[in-house]
Amino acid sequence: MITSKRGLKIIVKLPFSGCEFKPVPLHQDSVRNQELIVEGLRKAYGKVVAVDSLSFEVKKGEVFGLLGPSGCGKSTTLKIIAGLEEPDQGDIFLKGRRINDIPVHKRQTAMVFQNYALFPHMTIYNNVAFGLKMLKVDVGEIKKRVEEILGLVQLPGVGDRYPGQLSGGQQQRIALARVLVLRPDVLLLDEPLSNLDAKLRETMRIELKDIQRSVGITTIFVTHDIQEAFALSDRVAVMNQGRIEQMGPPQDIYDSPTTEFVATFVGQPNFFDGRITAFSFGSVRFLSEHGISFLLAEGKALKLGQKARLVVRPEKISINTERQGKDNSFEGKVTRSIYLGEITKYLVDVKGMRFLANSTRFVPEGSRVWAEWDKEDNFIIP
Amino acid sequence: MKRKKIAIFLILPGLIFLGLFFVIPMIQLLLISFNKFSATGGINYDIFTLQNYKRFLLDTYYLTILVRTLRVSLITTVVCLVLGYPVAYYVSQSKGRRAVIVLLIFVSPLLISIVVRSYAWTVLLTPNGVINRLLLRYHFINSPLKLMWTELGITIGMVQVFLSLMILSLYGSMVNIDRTLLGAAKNLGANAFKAFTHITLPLSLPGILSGSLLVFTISITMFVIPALLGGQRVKLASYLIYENYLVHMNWPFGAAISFTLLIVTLILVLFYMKLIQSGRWKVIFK
Repeated sequence: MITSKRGLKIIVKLPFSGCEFKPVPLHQDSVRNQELIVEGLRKAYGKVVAVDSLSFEVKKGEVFGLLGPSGCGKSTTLKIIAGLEEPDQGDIFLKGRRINDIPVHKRQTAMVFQNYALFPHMTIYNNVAFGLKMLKVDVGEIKKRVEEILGLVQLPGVGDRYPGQLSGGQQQRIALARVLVLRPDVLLLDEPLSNLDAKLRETMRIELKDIQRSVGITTIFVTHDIQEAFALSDRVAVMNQGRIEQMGPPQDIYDSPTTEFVATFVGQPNFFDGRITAFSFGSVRFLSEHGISFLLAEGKALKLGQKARLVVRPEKISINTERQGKDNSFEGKVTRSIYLGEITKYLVDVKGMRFLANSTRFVPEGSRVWAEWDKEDNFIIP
Repeated sequence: MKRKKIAIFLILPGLIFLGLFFVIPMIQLLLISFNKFSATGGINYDIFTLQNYKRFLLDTYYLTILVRTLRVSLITTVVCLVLGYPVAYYVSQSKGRRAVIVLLIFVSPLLISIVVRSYAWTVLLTPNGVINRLLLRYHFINSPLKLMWTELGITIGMVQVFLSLMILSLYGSMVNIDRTLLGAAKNLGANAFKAFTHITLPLSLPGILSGSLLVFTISITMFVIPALLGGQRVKLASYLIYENYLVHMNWPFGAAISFTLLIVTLILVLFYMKLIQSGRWKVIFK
């Protein structure tokens, strides 16, 4: 549905496609199916617009990732949903009910902060029990639920310790337990793994997903880490300058980005400028400024003679000394070869056209190679 | 090893200075406090006696002064805390220029000498002073209020002097409280009041304790204000020391009073140290 909207935009050639996102009209149906709806959100700090005409819907049990560079407004969005910031415009619906005017402490949205925000002067038990105490839950019940949730995050028996005595990963899990114990409707995670070191991050990523699955809670999380977003989310919205650039499952975002920003943000692709020269047998021919001809799969609304940009990701390009016979096949020279163990990064020169390629095969610098990829592996952005 | 030697060498001048002009006089003072004094014979350095301490702690007249000193100091501390807390809280929550300006306003009295401020208070508080004249003119009162030479007057003056110190101390601990903690507390269902009592208040405890300790210990030994606003009529311990040293020339008794106050202060400091190292509070005080 989103791609079709995008297709339309390619024809009208708007510089910023994000601003075309009109609030989806609210039907009773969509209200019932969607756990959380954000509609036409706008927030400015002085002259700086942090969030602009932002709309999205999250289904029950879905993990929705807001991905973008720092300062793109993703954290602000999360805070607005939690009620920690007030929007200048726009509505938030939770389970079909408008929650704009519900104060933060009465909202059923639970937030895990980037720095975990554990109360340093309280034991782990009191941290986790805090929300239940605020609800005046019976002491016995509190004890039961706290123990249950500490078991869920695999940290039983740390109740007597203080946050400062736990490791980063443990603190993260306690922060999660502290909100999950309240059984909220929506879980909000602000850069959940950014404070952990690289190794721990990978483990916690899996653990976080496991916990989310076992609870089945609707989750919105914010991150600048592409891998984190892709690994955790069912759907991702890529944000830039307060707007959503593209929204969809991770594979769609990666394989068919609709804007240059998205293409660049989620990878380090090669761009070739040129124009569409022919349509034939379900394929499209594209002639680059270097005078090199490419074949790509027919798809979006493309016009003959249209100026466009061809995108191909380095890891889609295979590097071989023998020709494989793929749709796009070029003989060139390896001008740089950077061996990284897992993969080797190449800079390839084909008749003066230079591009990056990643391969698991190692070829030394100066070699003549065939750089090849299939027509499905490159795509056009306006 | 070499670095250690250099370090000792570098702190030596300071140590010598303190030793000559602080430690030795203090020891001398302590020794004198056990000597005998007579109005006719002066100090008798040969007699060792506990008489001076007994006199200060057992005589009702002096005991009253000691209790009054502690009472005035305690009330000053509490009033400073009550008045200062909201100010420090407000400053810690505001940002940029506004925070700086408000803090400067409340700290600016520190720029004026205490002596000058105390004389200013006498102008305000005397039976014929500004406050009483205004109240009389507009018929709020029929006869002048007793403000000068009362505990009330001393306390007012002391609060004015120590409020800045208390605010600085409170602000120091409040400004370090991570503001996301409040957001987290609210997100977990705490209203503004609960968030304050559960998060801000306990986390500002280091400031409350250190500020109170500071104000209380300085209040006990404060001289200028009790001397000018209380004088001979409402004596505090510091005035008593002055009187014994410079009027009666009874150095042993003056020294005994000084050491009693010093011990009270030391006990408080030790109690404070003990408290912040005990398990529960260690977490907050880091």
